[in-house]
Parts: sequence; structure tokens; C-alpha cells
Amino acid sequence: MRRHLLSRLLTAGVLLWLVLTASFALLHALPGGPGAVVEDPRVPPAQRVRLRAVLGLDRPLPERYARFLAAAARGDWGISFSSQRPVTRVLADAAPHTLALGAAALALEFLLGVPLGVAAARRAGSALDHGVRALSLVLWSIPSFALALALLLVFALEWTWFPAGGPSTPGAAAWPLLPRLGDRLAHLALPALALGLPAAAATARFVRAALLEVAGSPHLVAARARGLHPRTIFLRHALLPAAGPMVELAGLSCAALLSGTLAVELIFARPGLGRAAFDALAARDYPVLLGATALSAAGVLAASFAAELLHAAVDPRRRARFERA
Amino acid sequence: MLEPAANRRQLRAAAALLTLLVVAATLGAAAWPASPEQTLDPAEAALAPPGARFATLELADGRLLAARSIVREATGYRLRNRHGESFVAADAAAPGAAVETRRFWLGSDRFGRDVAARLLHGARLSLWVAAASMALALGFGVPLGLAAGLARGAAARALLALIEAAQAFPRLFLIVALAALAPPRTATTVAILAATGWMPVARLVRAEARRLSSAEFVLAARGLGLPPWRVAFVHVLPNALAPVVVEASLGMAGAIASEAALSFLGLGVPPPAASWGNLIADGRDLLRDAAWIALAPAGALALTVLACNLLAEGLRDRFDPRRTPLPS
Repeated sequence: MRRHLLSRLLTAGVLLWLVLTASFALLHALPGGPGAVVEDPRVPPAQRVRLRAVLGLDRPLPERYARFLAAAARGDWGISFSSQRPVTRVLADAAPHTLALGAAALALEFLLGVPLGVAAARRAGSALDHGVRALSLVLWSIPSFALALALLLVFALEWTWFPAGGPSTPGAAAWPLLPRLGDRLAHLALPALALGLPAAAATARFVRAALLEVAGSPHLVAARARGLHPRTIFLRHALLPAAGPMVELAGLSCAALLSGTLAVELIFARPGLGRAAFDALAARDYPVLLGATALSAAGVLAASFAAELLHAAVDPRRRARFERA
Repeated sequence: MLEPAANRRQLRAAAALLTLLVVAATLGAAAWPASPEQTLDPAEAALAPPGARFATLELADGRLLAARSIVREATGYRLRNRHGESFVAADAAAPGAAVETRRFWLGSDRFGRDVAARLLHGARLSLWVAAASMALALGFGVPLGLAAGLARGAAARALLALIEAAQAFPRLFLIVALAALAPPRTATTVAILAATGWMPVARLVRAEARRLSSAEFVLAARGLGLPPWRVAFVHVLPNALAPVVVEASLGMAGAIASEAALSFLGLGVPPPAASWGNLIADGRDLLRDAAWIALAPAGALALTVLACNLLAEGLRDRFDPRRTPLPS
């Protein structure tokens, strides 16, 4: 078990290194990369030379790569070209907003998707089942940025139930704890729905299909023949085997949700990672862009690693494969 | 997971929707009376709600005038406008001009352009970009997946690591990083979507190839001394085609949505062209006053993705009713 864990961690490390190298190569090899920033003809030559030296762009590429890796390992991601602040500070300011949004969307996805999928599967063929299937099919098909616009229009502009954007009301920092928390949640609601509803729809469809797939299987017939309580049969013999794939789904969801945050953060003016990456792109602020990309990739790797561990925890077959390795 | 009749209904619905879409994007766009670029008298016809009807009159200098109504009189035309009336002398109108009516079925945008015309022409562009990128993704992902599934030892591990590393990037972040480096062109968008869309295909083909690699007919083909490419493409691939078709359909849905998201962010098809993402972006700051500008293309987008998803699900149930792969 431990050996397998170590080897998975090692693989994740190698993957992260590959991701970093690929980002670095992409950013440096193609036109419009960091070199172009300091070759603007409007900048006087002497200044250009100094700027190149300050930014470390005057060194050969392999040296820059080695320095980049060493610094990255130390947690030093360089200085933002546009704001002159350390990239780690920029990202540390942005990450909590994205994390809150992603966590809220993930919670919505499973708190809404799993019960709906279970309800539909238990009464397969009923009106409820048809309703859930139709609704989830439609929601699943709406890209989250389009859903974000629709929610913004209906719930923030037409009926002003929720604030239209930003992470919190200006000046809310001075409020007492509870109103401040409520304010944050109100600002989080629409973006989380825009991200979470399509994901919840996909989950509901998946859970329903997974439950129906085991519905006629011999082990359920055997459980019924042993006279087990229907609830026990359902929870332990139908739902539990589906838990493993659900965990994998959660791991995959993290990547999709993280991608989705970019557009949603822009639409709702939330200063998260996606927005940081987008602004960095507009300003050709490549240290921030590199950092945001690497951080999001690390997030995805961590999520898939956690999903694998959880999968082993809920599925004895998976655990056996771990122990053999 | 559906009974056969429901499965047939689902596939039929998907096929009907997709046919409608392709017809709209080709014949519909060509036959629609208004052109997507034509601006109809912005002072009068900008931000007209869906269904609004205008009378139009062509002037001698080529401009098109629009008004609530235009009445021909002895010496010229009397126009009833948004803010009153005006008069156009007969010799200011184009020779032989007649009063025509124009209806904005889906409303007009801020320049008085026809949203329906832009939607139809946008369909052609959006579908073309998605289909081209999916074809590229298949062209790259299928051979790579076959190689990864049939190779042994270090080569197999390296190929798998490549696929996993590419998949570890959150897709939109990778798209943003790539968009930073290449000039915004339609071809760039196709390349970016392909570069970020081949991984699920490769993963799937790899899994199928691995499963088939120990099948007797594959072993037999190997035993006959056939070259590896022949084993891969002639013996393995045809037997793995069903899930690939399903994945291509899902990927198409993803590509259409990603193109729209990318163009919406200003990183995709460059703006004068009417892709759906651009249309949605156009309507974004007019959401409160003229919601139809963004909602019409967003609805078309959702409908298209829905059709692709329906097709994918229907095909999956048809090919292999026992499998429930993870939704993507």
C-alpha cells in the first residue's frame, strides 16, 4: 500500500514537472512571449537593456529554465510584470475566491445531483424520473458561461435578489461577522449555481445510470433472497458499489469546475485565479500567467490523487489492486 | 439504460435536431433575406425587440431608411419614426425604390443588424470550427491512443504520462495560455481546441486497445507477422470504433461550447465574424436593455450541445447498453 502511494506521488510529481516545463516552453518558444514585452521600439534602448536585466531576460534560455525550476521549487514564482508584487502574493490573494467558488459548486453538484439521481433510479419510469431526466439533460447542455449570463439577467438585473458581481459589498469588511458572512454567501450564490447546476445535472444522470446498471444484478437478487431490509439492500448493495465511480467523477469534476471558474469569474467580477490568469494574459504578465496555470494544474493533480485514495477507501477491489502493487 | 423504443426516439430526436441545425447553417443562412453585416438605419432600428417590423426605403446614396411606416405621397415619402415624422423627397429615394417591410424575428443589435441573420451565419462558423477541431483531435488522439494501448514497457508508460500530463491542465487555462501566444485567427481557434480536446479520445482509444490487445484475433494478427500499424489500424481500431464515435459526439458538444466560451472571452474567432461566442459577447453589456442579443445565440448554443449530448447518449446505449462511462 505505502509503496503504491509513493509511486503515485512520484508520478504526480513528474506530471507537475512536465506541466511546468510545457508551460515554460510554450511561453518562451512562441511569438508574443516574454521577449516581446521588452522589445517594444517605443522604449529607449538603454532602458530596454536594463529592463531585460531586471527581469532576467538577458540570460540564455537553459539558464532561465534552470533558474525558473529552482526558484519554483523554493516557492519563489518571480515578480509580476504589471503590479510589481510577488507572483505568490498575487496568487494567494486570488486563490481563496476560486477555492470558495469551486467548493460551493462541487457541494452543489453532489448535494443536488446524487439525491436526484437516486430518486430517479428508485422510481425508474415514473413521472419523477422523466422530470429529472429531462431537466438534467437540458441543464447539462447549457455551458456555464451562458447559464451565468442567464442567472445574472434574471436574479440580479430583473429581480434584484442577488448582487450582480464582486466578492462582497464594498465596505463590508467592517461589518460584524454574521452579516459579513451572509454578504459573502449572497455574492457566491449565482456564480456557484452557474458552475454547479450543469455539473449536478451530469452527476444526476451518472448516478441514475450507475444504479440502474446494478439493479438487475445477481447479488441484489441474492440479498433480497436473504431477506434483507430494502433500505439495507439499497444502501449497501446498490449505492455503495457506485460510490467508487462517483468519487472518480468528483475528481474529474474538479478539473472541469476549475476550467469553468474562468468565464464565471469574469462575468461576476470575482477576483479569483481565472481572472488573474485572464488579466495576466491581457497585460502579457507572463510570471503570473505561468503561476496561475501551474497552480491550477497542481490543483487538478491533487484532486485526482485524492479521488484515487478515496476510491481505494470505498472500493475493496481497488484496495486489493493497491495492495498487490 | 433505456428500453429500445425510448432509445430509438432519443436517437431520432438528436438526428432531427442536428439535421435542422445543419440545414439552418447552410441553406437557412444562404436563403435568409437579411445579411448578417447589414446595418439597418441604427437611429431607428437599433435594439428592436424580437418580432419588430419596419418599413424600409432605399435612398439614392445607397443608405436604407427604416421607419414605423412609410407612406407614398405625391412629392415623396412620409415616414413615421420613433420620435415623430419626417419627409423624404421623391428624388432623394433611389430610382425605382419601393417601400419594403423588414421583420426582425429575433430582434436587432445595437447597430440595427438582424440577430437572426447573425445567428444563422454564426451557426455555420461555430459548427465548422467545432467539426474541424474535432477532426484534428481525432486524427491526433486515435493514433496516439492506439500506440499507447498496444505498446509495451517504457514506451507505453511514456505515452500514458504524456496523455495524463496534457489532461492535468484545466482546459480553459491551457486555452488562455495558448491564446496568449498565437495571433487571434479562426485557424488558431481550431488548433487550440484540437490541442486541448484530443486527450479524452486518446485515453479512451488506449483503454479499448489495451482491452483488445490480448484478444485472440489480435494475437493471431500479430502471430502472422503483420506490421504493428496494420494490427493497430486494421484489426484493433475497427473493433474500438463504437466508443470512439460516442466520444467524438461528446467531444463535438464540448468543442462547440469551448469555442463559444473562448470567443466570449475575446480569445477565439476575431470579432467582426459572427460566431456564437462573439454574438453572446456582443449582447453581454446590453443584457438589461436588449437581452435577446445574448439569449438567442446562447439558446442556439445550448440546443446544439443538447443535440450532440442526446446523440452521444443514444449511441452509447445502442452500442453497449451495459456500460456507463463517466460523463465528461
